[in-house]
Amino acid sequence: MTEVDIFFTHTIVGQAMSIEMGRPMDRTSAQGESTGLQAGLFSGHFSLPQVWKEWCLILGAYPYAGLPRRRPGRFRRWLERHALLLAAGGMIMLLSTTTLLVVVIWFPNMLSLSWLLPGSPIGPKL
Amino acid sequence: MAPQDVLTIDPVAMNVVNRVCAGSQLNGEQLYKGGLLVQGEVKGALDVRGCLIVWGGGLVSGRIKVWGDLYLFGQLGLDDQPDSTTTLECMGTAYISNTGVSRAALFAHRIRMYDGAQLHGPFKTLKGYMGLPELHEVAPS
Repeated sequence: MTEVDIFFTHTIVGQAMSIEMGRPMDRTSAQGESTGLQAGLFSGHFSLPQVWKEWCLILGAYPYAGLPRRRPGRFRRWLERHALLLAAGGMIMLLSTTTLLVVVIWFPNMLSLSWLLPGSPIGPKL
Repeated sequence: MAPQDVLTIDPVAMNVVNRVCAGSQLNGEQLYKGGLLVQGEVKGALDVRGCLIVWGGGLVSGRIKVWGDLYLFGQLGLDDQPDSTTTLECMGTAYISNTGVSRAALFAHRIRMYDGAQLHGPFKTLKGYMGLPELHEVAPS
């Protein structure tokens, strides 16, 4: 599919989206499948069975388009909703730590607590 | 209580290059090279060389052959006709979501249903050899 095809596909059909399927009526049916590698006798094509695909989906290492996956839990949905906020917080903490380290290295006297000791101009009076 | 499943529909990854919009009505013999997203009404003889997605509010009836998977969120078959009037042959997996309604004779390699799905017509599992192309047909790439 060329870039032009992708553009028109996105324009006409739409962008990728997620939709809820509901609760599976029989989840145990997937457990009865073969857990080995599936190979086509005529085409020679081989692939992982459904059970392993779902396991790969959990790792996020497999493109899950077209394959129903378990809906993420409440905590993971909260993490996904606040991903930008968490990332921004992480960046701020990283920058703060870097700044603090630079200050400590370049201006070691600035963070010295000696001015709080007795006898210093603003320290407690003896 | 079992957790719900979510489905990510990526038109590019799933090669869904055809779409029948809501409010559209198509009738007759139709061939789609690639997946098809139906949000309107499609009737007649359909040959979908990819996956078929029937959106909520969408309606598909007639003689349908799907080479890929079927995702049913809307309705399959008409209300005022017998269940055997509409037949759907799916070479992949038929996913019938909690909003899907099937009033057709459904033949699929595998089926996966979700709570709330309505399956009125008969269902039959396809054998492996039925997935092979016939002499006058070309397997989808």
